[in-house]
Amino acid sequence: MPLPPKHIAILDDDKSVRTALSRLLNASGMNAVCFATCTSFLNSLEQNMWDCVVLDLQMPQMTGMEVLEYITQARISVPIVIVTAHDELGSPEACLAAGVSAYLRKPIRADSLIDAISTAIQSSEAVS
Amino acid sequence: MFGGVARNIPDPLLRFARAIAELISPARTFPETAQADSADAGGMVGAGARWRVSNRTIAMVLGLSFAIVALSLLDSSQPVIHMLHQHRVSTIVGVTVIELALIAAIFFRDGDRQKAERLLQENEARMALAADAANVGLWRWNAATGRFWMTDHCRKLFGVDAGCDTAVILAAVHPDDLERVREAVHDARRNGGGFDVRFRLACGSDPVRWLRSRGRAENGADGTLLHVAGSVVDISEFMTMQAEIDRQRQSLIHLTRVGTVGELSGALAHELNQPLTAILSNAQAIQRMIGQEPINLEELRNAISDIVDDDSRAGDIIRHLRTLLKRAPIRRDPVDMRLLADRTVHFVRHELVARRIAPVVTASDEPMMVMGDGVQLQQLLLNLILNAAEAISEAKQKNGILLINGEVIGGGADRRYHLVVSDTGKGIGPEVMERLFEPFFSTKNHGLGLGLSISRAIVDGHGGKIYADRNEWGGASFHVFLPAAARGRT
Ligand SMILES: Nc1ncnc2c1ncn2[C@@H]1O[C@H](COP(=O)(O)OP(=O)(O)OP(=O)(O)O)[C@@H](O)[C@H]1O
Ligand SMILES: [Mg+2]
Repeated sequence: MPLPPKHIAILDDDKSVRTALSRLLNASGMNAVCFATCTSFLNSLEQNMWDCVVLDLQMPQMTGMEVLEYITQARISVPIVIVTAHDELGSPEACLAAGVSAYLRKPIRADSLIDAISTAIQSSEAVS
Repeated sequence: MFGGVARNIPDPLLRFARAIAELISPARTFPETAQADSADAGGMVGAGARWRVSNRTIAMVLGLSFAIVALSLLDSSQPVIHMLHQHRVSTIVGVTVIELALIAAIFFRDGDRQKAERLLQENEARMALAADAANVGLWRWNAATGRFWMTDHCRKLFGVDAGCDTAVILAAVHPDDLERVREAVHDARRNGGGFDVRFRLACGSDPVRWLRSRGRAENGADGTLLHVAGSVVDISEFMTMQAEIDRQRQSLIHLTRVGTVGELSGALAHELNQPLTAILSNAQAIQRMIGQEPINLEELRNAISDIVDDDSRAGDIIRHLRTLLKRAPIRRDPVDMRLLADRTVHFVRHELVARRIAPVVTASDEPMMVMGDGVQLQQLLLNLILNAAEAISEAKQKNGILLINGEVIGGGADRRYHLVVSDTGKGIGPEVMERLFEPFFSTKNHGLGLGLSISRAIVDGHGGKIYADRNEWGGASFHVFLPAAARGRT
C-alpha cells in the first residue's frame, strides 16, 4: 500500500523558483504548496499541516533566519530544509545550530533535494 | 551748393579753376585700391567716402576763388574803374577774405584727417603686433565688398594667402565643422550678436589642428550688415589635452563602474542563480513526469515554457552585466530616465532585499527622455541607490525606505528632469556635506570615496546639476537635474 503523499511547504519570494520546485516535488510523489510571503506562510503554520518546509533565506520582509527564530520561539516542530543562493544571509553553521535539517545551495539537484526532504521527515518522525 | 555755383560760371573760368584744383588736390584724394584694404580695416569706409567728395568740391571752390580774385585784380588796375566800382571791389575782397579763411580751415581739417588716418593705421599696426605677440589672429569681413582683411598671423593660422575671399577661407575649415561655423556666424548676423566657435582645419595634418574664433557682427543704423569681425587662436594643444583628460575620465568612470558591479557580485550571483535553479528544477520535473503514466501533458507544456522564460531571464541579466562591464565609447541617445530607474532598482533588488530595504519608485506616466549615455546614467543611479542603502544599513535600520522620485520641471528649452533619491538613513552631517563630492572622501571602512565624484562627473557630462540635502526623515536626499531631450526626438 503506497504511503500518503507528504505535505511540503515551499517559501520563496521568486515565483519561477517556487513554481519549479513545487512542480519537481509533485512529480516526485509529494504534495507541495507554495508561499510567496512570510506572513501567509507563518499563518499556515498554525494548522501544523506540513511534513517539511523548504525555505529560501532571502525574503523581502523577513530573512529566513528570522523565520527560523519565529518557528523555534513558537515551539512549532517542523523539519526545515534551507535552499539559498549565497551564504551571506546566514551561514550553514548558524542555520544548522538553529535546528535546520539540511542546507542546500542553489541551483539544487533534484536527488539531493528529495533526499534531504526524506531524511528530514524520517528523522523528525523518529523523534516524535 | 558748390555744384550750383560751378554750373553758373563761364567755361574758360571753370577750366582754370579745375586746373588749380588739380594742382592742389591729387595728394589728398585716396587711391581706390588702397582704400579697400586699409580704410576698411579701421571701419572708416563711410567716413572715407564723405571726405573724398568734400575734398574735390573744396578744391574746386579754391580754384574758382583764385580765378575770381585774379580777374578782379586785373579789373581794378585802372583807377577810374576802381573808383566807379568801389562796391564791387570791396565785395570781391570780402568774399576773398572769407574764402581764404575757408581755405585755411580746410588745410587745417585736412591735416587733422591725415593725422587721424595715420593714427588709425598706427593703432592698427600696433594692435596686429600685440595680437601677433599673443598668438591671436584678427580678421574682418566686409559685407559690402565681400572681402577679408586679416592680420598676417591670422592668414598663417588659416593657411591662406593675402586678399583671399570667403570661399577660400571656408575651404580651409574642416568639412564636418563647416555647418557649425556657418550657423554660428549666421546666428550672430541675424541677431546682431557675438559668436564663439571651435572648428578643425581641413588641411589634414596629424594631429588635427583646432582653431577657435570669437567675434561679432556689426550692423549699420538701418540694420544692414556692415561687417563681421573676430579673433582666431590655435587651440590644438588645448583640445589634445582636453581629449586626454576626457579619455582618462572615461576610464575612471568605467573602472569605478566595474568596481561597483564587483561589490554587487553576491547579489548578482543570487539574481543569476534564481532562473538557473528554476530551469534545473523544471528540467528534472519533466524527467520524472515523462516516466509516469498517464503523462500530464498540460503540466509538461507549462514546465517547458517556464524553462524558456527563465532562460531569457538569465540572458537578460548577463546582457545587463555585460553592458555595465564593457568599456564602450560614450553615447548620446534618448534615454528614458523613468525606465532606467525601474531597471536599476530591479538590477539591485537582491542587494536591497538583503539589507531589508524596500525601494519605491515614483514617477509621472509620461516618459522622461534625457539625451545621454544610458550606461553612465545607470551608474549614476547605482551610486546613489547604493549610498542610500549603505546609509540605511549604517543606521542599523530594519525596513528602511529608499525613495526614487522623478518628475519633469520647467517648460520649453528649460524642460528638465528632476530625480530625487531619498533614504531614511543616518543622514549627512555638516562636515561630511562640505566634502561630499570630493574624490577619495569616504566615511566608510571599505569605501573608495569615488562614487559621488564620479556621479558628479557623469551629471556634468550631461549638462546637469547634482546636490544633496537633509530630508524630512533625517536621511539624505540627492537631487539630480538633467536637461530633458527635445520633444519628438525620442
Ligand atoms: N545617502 C547618504 N547618506 C549619508 N551619507 C552619504 C550618503 N551618500 C554619501 N554619503 C557620504 O558621502 C561619502 C562619499 O560618498 P561616495 O559615494 O563618494 O563614496 P563611498 O560611498 O564612501 O565609497 P564608494 O567609492 O564605494 O562609493 C560617504 O562615505 C558617506 O559618508
Ligand atoms: Mg558610494
